[in-house]
Amino acid sequence: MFKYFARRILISIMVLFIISIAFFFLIHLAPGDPIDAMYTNIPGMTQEQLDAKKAAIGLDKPIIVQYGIYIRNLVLRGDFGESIQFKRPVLDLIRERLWNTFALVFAAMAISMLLAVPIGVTSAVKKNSAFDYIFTSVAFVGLSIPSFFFGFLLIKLFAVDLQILPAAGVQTPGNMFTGAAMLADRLKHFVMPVSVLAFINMASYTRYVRSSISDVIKQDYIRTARSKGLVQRIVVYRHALRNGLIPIVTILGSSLATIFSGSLITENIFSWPGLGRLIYGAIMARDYFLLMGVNIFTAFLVLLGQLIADAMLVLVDPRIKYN
Amino acid sequence: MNRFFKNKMAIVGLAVILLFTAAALLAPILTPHDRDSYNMAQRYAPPSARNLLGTDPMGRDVFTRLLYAGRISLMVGVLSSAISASIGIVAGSLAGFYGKWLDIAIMRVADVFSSLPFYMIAITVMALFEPSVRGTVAVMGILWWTDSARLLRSQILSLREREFMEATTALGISDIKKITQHLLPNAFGPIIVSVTLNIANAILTESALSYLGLGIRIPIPSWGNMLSDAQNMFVLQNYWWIWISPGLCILFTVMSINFIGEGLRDALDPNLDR
Repeated sequence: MFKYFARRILISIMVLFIISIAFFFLIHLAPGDPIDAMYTNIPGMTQEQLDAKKAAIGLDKPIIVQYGIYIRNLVLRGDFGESIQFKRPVLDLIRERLWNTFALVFAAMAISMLLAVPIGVTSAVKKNSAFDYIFTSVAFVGLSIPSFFFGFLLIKLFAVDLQILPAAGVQTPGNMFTGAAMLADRLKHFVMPVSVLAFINMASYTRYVRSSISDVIKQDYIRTARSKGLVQRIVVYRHALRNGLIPIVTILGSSLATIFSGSLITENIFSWPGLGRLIYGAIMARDYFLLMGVNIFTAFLVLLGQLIADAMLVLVDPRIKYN
Repeated sequence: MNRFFKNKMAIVGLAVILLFTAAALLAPILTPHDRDSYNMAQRYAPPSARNLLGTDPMGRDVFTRLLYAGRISLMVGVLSSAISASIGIVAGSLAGFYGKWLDIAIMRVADVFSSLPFYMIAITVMALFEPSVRGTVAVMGILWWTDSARLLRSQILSLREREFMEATTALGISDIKKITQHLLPNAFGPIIVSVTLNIANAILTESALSYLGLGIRIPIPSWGNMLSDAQNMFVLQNYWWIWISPGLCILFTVMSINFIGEGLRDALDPNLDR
């Protein structure tokens, strides 16, 4: 087991290295560079001045050397470099935005799980009932609707027509709220972005829970539990759910990448100041170090999530032995 | 009863897709308007006999652009799935058939690809190199091969232990023929289901990239980039026909393809109790 996880961690580190190399070369080989992107519209800059600015951030060196310097600083000092457009450490910029994205992603994950488990279980137990049909259809809509279209529908309904929810941002601009008023304001801004992300997530979770529980309730030990005369609720929630949730833990880990990806679009719809918006701005400005930093950081989080899901699997399922 | 319900949905889905495909192909016959010609005097016109679904902020006919956008969105979905399935089939059969170090190498590469956060990579690549139809197809085609590769590998691993494969060895059939004529046809079912569901996903993703301005770019219409107009609060508030119709087109198309995929899965795997 220890060996298995040691190997997994090693592979994850290797994956991170490969991602860093791929990104670094991709970004540097693409046409345009940050200095040109920043100063082309400013008249009176001579070529010498531009070259000096490029040399100052090391752009005049061969790509391999640049990568070597970058990765050395990252590995030895945890230094992601400095954003070219903001002139501030990349890590600080990530830290400022990280919690906004985290809040969005984890709230959406938690809410979709809390809804998907009872819905999926009931669908599986009462297969082919009206309940099953309705929620299977809802899940199909969730799988098929573009998140931005769903977001627009919500904005149109709740922000434009009913005017009960704010359409953008994390808080009312320029507010002086404190305490409960501040919390209420934040929560209001939270409702729509989280709903979009949670609904789309819930659709796929529901389908997994339903099919996993359907498999479990056909097992012999469930029949035994029933024949002992246990009530349905206890059979389902105490015996079936425990085993049925095992595959779901795996899904949680692998869905992390999808949710982080999805949050990028949700952040765009609701002008949510998170990592997604940061990366979008970094691309437009050809901000090499910021772009590298956010991408590597996200990949790191996703890999970490998958490792944690694997470890959790051992906790919930004692039958699993990695080797 | 359940299977009947599912199949009915698959048939409805198939009908919708055939209708949409026909409408997209017959666009020049179905509409008198030009795809791109704008008319500033006709901006934001509501639906009428002249403009069935009104006009957009540039005075272009929304219905006409929807038809032409259907061509692009359907084509991008099918092409990118074809590419990812081809890469996946080659990689999966090599890994499953030859095993050993080749299997390990291919599966490790697959691990790397599937742990990439897709949109981050996609928008980085698309923004750095000009967004285009070809680029959109390529990004999805190249990044999404791992599922079909894993699927085919596991199919081949179980198939190659079967007796008919011993027979092929006894007959002295070459490796290439073993894979293409004996293994692939037997693994066809799950692959076709996975490709179908992949098309749905590709159309959804293309629409998201185009919405962000990093997929299909105007003047070429795609359902996704038609929805970008709704980013303008003014449009969102007052001109529903500009953004509701492309949104519904994406929803109906993707849902129909998902229904077809589910129907195929049920039909190809009669043991499955859903």
